[in-house]
Amino acid sequence: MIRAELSKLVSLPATWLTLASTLAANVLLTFVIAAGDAPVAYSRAGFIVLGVLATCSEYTGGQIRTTLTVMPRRVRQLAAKHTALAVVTLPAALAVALSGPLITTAVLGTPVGLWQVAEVTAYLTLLTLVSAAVGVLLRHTLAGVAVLLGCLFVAVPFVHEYLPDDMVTLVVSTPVLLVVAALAYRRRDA
Amino acid sequence: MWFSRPLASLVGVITIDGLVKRRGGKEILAGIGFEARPGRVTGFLGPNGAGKSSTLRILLGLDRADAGTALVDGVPFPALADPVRTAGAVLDGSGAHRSRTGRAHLRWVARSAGLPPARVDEVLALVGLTDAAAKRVGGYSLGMGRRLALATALLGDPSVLILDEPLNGLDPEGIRFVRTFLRERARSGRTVLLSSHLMGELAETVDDVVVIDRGRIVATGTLAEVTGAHRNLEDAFFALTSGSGR
Repeated sequence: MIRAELSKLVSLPATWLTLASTLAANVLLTFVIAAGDAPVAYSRAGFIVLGVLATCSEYTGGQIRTTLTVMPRRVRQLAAKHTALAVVTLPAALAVALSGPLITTAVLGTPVGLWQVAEVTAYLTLLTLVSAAVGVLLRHTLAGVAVLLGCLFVAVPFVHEYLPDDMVTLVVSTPVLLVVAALAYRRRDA
Repeated sequence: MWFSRPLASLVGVITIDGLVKRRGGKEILAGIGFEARPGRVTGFLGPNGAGKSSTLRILLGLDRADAGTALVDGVPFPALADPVRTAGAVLDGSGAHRSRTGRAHLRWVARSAGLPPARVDEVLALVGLTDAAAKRVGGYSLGMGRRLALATALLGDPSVLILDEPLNGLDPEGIRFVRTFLRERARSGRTVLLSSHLMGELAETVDDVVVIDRGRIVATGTLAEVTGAHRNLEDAFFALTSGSGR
C-alpha cells in the first residue's frame, strides 16, 4: 500500500512543481532577504501546499472511489499515504533546510549549524503531515491551503506568547491532527 | 484465519439484505435486498434517483448503510482479503486524477495489489487504450475515461464486476464492446452486476433483473419472469415504475 501511495505522489506533476518552486524560492530568498535559514519562514508555505495536495488530490476526478475500492481498509490506506508523503518530504525538507546555510557559508564563511538544519528538516516534514491531515478534513485544496496559511501567518503570530516553542507545538499537534483526520476519514461517506 | 475465508457456496455471490440509507431526513433506500450470482449478468434497473448508485456505493464500502448488510463473497467489502482480485468496480467518470497519465493511474492500482506491471499493458490493450496510455486523463474523452475505469476494474481479473451505468457516455461501438464483454465474463462463470436506467439497451445482455423504484425493490427474477405478460422489458419496467414522478 505504501508503494501504491508513493506511486501516486510521484506520478502527480503538481508534487514536483511544488517541490521545485519551493526550493527555488528558498534559494532566491536567501540571496535577497536574509542569511541562514530565515527564508524558511516563507518557503514553508510550499510544504503546506505539498501536504494539502497529497490528500486533496484524491478528490479530483473521483479518484477517491478508486482508492477506497482497491484499498478499502481506510485507516491503513491513509497511514500508507502519510508514510509515503513523509518519505517524499524528508529529503526535500533536508534540501531546503540545507540550501540557506550552505549559501551563507559559501558567501560569508559562517559554519553550517547541523543541529539547526536537523530541526528545520523535522519542522518542515511535520508541517507537511499536519497539512495533509487538514486536507483530509477539508477535502478542498484551496480551502486547506488558505486555512493553514491563515493559521501560520495570521493566527499564530497573535497568540504566539501563549504558545510553547513552534517546534513543540508542532510535535504535539501533528499526531493529534493525524488521528482526528483518520477517525473522520473512517467514519464518513466517501 | 478459517472464519475469514468465504464459504465455497458464497464465492462470487453478492448478497444485499435489508439495506436502509437516510440522507437529509429522507429515506433513499427503504430496506432493499437481492442477490447476484456467478455465471449470470444481473441488471439492477430503475429510473434516475431510484437508489441504484446509493446501493452500489454501500456495496463497495464507499458509503455507510443505516441498517442492513451488503456482502461480496459473504463478507462486507472492506473485510475482503484481496479486494482487487475479488471485485472490480466501474462507477461514473474515470476514477482517475486528470493530471496523471492513464498508465500511471493503472500502475498505482496494480502496485496496491502487488500485480505485475505487465498486467497494466494487458488491460490497456483489452479496452483499446494502448495508444492513449501516455496521455493525461484530463485529455481523455468521456468514452476513453469509461474505458480506463473498466481497465482499472479488470486489473485483478476479479470474479465479481460491479458497474454503475456502464453504457453512459459510450459510442455505439463502445456499447457493443461492453455488452459482448460482460456476456463473456458471465459465460466464464463470473458475477456481473450492472445498474442502468436504459431498458432497451439491456434486454439482450442481462439474465436476471432487479427493478428498484423510489428506494424499494419492485420486482426480481429472470428476464422472462420480470418481463412476464408485457411485450418487452421496457414495457414491464414502465408498468412497474409508473407514477415515479419522472
